Amino acid sequence: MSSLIGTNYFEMFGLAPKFTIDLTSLDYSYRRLQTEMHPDRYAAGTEMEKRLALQLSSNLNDGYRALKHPSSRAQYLINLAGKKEAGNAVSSAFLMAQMEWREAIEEARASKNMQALDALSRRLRHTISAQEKLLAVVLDEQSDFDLAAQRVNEFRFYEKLQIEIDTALDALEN
Amino acid sequence: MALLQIAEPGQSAAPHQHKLAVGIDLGTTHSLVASVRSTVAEVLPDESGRGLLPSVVHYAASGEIDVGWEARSKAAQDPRNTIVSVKRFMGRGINDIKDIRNLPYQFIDTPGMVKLNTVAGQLSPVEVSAEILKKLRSRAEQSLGGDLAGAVITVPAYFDDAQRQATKDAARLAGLSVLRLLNEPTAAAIAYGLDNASERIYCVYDLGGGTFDFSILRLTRGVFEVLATSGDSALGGDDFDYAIYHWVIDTLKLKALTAEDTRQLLTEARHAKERLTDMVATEICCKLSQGVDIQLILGREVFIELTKDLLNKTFSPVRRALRDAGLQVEDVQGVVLVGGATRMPYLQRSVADFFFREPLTNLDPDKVVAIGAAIQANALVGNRSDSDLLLLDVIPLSLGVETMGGLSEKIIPRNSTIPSAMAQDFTTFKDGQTAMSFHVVQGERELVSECRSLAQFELRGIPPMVAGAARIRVTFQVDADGLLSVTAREQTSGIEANIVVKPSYGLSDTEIAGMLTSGIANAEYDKRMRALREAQVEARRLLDATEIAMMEDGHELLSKSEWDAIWSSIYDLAETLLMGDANSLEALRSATDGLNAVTTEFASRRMDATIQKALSGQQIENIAI
Repeated sequence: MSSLIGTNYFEMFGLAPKFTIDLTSLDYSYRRLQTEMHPDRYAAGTEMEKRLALQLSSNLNDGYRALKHPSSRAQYLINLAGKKEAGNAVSSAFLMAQMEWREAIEEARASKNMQALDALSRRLRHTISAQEKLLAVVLDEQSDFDLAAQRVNEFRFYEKLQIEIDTALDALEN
Repeated sequence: MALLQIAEPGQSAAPHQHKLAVGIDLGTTHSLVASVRSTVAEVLPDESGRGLLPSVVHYAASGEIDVGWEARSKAAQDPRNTIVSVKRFMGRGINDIKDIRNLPYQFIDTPGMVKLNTVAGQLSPVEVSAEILKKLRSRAEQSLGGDLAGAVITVPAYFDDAQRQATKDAARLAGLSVLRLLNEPTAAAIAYGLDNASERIYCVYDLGGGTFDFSILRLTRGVFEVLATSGDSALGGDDFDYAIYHWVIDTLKLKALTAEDTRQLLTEARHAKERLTDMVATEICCKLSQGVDIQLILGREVFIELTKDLLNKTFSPVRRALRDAGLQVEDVQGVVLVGGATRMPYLQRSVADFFFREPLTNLDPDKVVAIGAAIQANALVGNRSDSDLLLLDVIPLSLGVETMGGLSEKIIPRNSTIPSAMAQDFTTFKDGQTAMSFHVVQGERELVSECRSLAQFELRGIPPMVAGAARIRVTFQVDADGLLSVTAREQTSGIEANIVVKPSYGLSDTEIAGMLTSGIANAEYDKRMRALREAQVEARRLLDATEIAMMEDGHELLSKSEWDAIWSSIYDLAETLLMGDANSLEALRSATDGLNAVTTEFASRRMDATIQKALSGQQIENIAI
């Protein structure tokens, strides 16, 4: 059975196990495999085929989800390297930045300032893309999985901020 | 070769014969059935040429059951036994139903799903829906001239597990073989043939009678993905009728109306709204009781003024979905309109203004969902051998389990592509703890009390260990219909305990069997015959599929002894199948299990080969680019 799925998600999609991957290639493999394996292909098939298709198609979806997003892809690589989660470890510089972000968002939200929130959202997007580049260096060049685990924590925080800003914008618009 | 003859004893469908499959739009106010006939999908009309079937069921004291137009005409005189819009009760508990006091039914608070007390006894919404489906099924069998091989039934994208399960149960009860439950917006996109070669983002704007649904789909080389869904379950085309109705009352300063007058004026309001689609002004005329004569001119401009807030309300969910999907309005390459209310010209203009493009309107917005379902049914049943159409759908609401403090730990987040299997590890709270109870919930809120409870179950037999040492892996599996099963397994000790739950809102197989056979004198015999028929269908399907697989890949993928073992099991099953009397049920099942067991490895090798082929194909194409 393991040969069906590959030993890991990267193998399943025919990719090298790196943080920097060709997303177009991932998309392409995923769609191609899903077209062959999806339960819809076996809707008129036997129970056995249906079960296998359900299992394989689920694996494809879960693997695709894990590799598509930078934070889950990084976490997956860290897990593959045999590292446990890093708890809540972050750098002190990050702690400072974290407080500043929270204050700025809170202020914009309290004063119902949509433009300020929009500006924060744009700035945050830049930060996230810079963090992604940092992760690539730590994982692909330095292979420092402990540091990577810390960076993933920080990355997740920025992703959560993005959701907070979106929710605040949502609330103001309605 | 003789084996092929045995496996196809007349009744079994030849592999390339055209199979009859239908798509069913099981709607809140109306339902439709459609099918692909000579390459064109079309809605199948009743004897009077009407495509729409009102989703209304009337139960008479005589035991007679009317469905559709006849039933609807009885709503006024016998409201308690005329079930209208039963879709709203599917998979719902008594506390879920809004405006329950204003509904003319006697609800019974039964665990899982409400029941309705009628002259025909206590009825589950599943049984009522099954009557609608039976009517559509017989309409389809009459007009297509044969038994149906399968059906695709559409459900709103936001339907939760209980509602989907209830829909599937209703179909089973109606004797339909469900090929797939399909999200309504996805069906609409299929109807427009949007399975284009290039990548596109489409939106489906569905304003039905009582609900508004909005969905964003991405289509890439035949793959449909639902990127986000949103909506407003308390906003629909009927609200536009109410706006006109209230305007009439305010303008003429009418006092409280009788129920009959209200109904009459609302009907007239709806007609006025419909006339305003083609005219700039219309006259509202009706005679109420106590000699009140209504005669008013309603201009389109006034109508727009009355209802523009309603229309604007639809754009909040639209914006929310765009944000969920991380998209801008400019990313959208097409907007599909569904639902009769989208015929309003000013609605179409507003949608065009919002998206900076004209919406797609060339298909009948009432029929578009059924047509898409029919196209998908035709592909799933195997009539389209070239079929490159693949649907990837998402679950609408997060699935999780209750943790300490009554909080919900999400295991599968909403908008995850299905099918999906995700696991989370849990551990024990006390030293020596040997059992653990799980509460499965669905919803976005943090507090379990604010989510929908789907199931509760216990895992027993955990070996006694210190607190926190046991590792219990809980796996959630959602299938392609969006239905959930949950498994919990203790892993540290090697001792395994498995449990699979079905959501408590779904009906158990025994309940279904009970409903299937109720009213039939020889219930036990009937149940057995049904089980036998189902086993025969599965056996034939297995034989057909195995033989085709053996012809295609048997020589390449099997050793001589494996090849012989499979053929020997094929013989066994084919022989058992030919015996055909009710007593052979057990034998049939055991022969089917036998062939299934001996072909498991073969089936996985075939899938493995398919994967390898798909991956190597990709590499070749990459080189070509």
